[in-house]
Amino acid sequence: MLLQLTVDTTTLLSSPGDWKSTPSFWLSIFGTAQLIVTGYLIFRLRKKSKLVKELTARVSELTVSSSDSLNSSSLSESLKEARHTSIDFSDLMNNINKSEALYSELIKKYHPDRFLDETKNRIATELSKEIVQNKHSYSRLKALEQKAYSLLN
Amino acid sequence: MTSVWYRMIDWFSEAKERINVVRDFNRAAKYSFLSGEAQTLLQARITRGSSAYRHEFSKFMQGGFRIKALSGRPLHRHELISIGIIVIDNEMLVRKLISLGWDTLEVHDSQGYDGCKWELKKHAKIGGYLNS
Repeated sequence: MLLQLTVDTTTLLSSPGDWKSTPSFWLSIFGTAQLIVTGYLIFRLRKKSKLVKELTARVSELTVSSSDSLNSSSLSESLKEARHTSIDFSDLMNNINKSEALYSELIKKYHPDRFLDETKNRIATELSKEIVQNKHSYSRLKALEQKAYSLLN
Repeated sequence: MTSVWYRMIDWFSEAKERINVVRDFNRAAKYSFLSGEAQTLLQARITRGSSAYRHEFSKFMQGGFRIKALSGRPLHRHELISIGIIVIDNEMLVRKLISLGWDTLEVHDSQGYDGCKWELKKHAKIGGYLNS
């Protein structure tokens, strides 16, 4: 029986072109690929855990050095909480589509040089600063427009 | 065993949350285009992202959040940059993108393969956790 098996394998291996069709060949290929993938995943996991350790150490250093900064656990918690915060995408779309036009309109309309009165000039200067700071926020620019309208008109 | 189970639950909830972010963005972009507020239809999709911008929360091969102009008027370079800056200015959104495994923000026009990209962790402002 054993002799028969060895003869079979030798005939399989000796025939040219047939060695690719043997199951042992494909098994060895599969095993090697599995080993490589497993090794790579272990390498990534180790690298990641090392990075996290370094970061935690750095954060703890930061918390020691600055009194008002957050500690590492609260920082990681804040990152986890950030996952579940809801984002107003319609507001984002307004910022993308409308904020630039409104900004250019407001910055021209309420430019301090347009107001000769001293108090109005001061208010316009402060408003212009706020308008520049909130250049990309449509909702804030709208609120500033109303504020400017009530104060300067 | 329980940790593996929690990891699996976490992975699925994260994947769902990522899909929700992309879907909400696309829905808002579609409504603003249909209502006539936007001249160009934008679409968000998940891409590979830049390997140079990777951070410890990055998803493997899924680190890019690409905003692409689909139809309507083609966008100029300064418009691509302004879209990117507006997204980057939204601190809550940037934090959410980072925590869900994105590391690169890409803004592309409808024509060609050129676009702009930003490293998200530089704009996170998470108390020095990623910026230091």
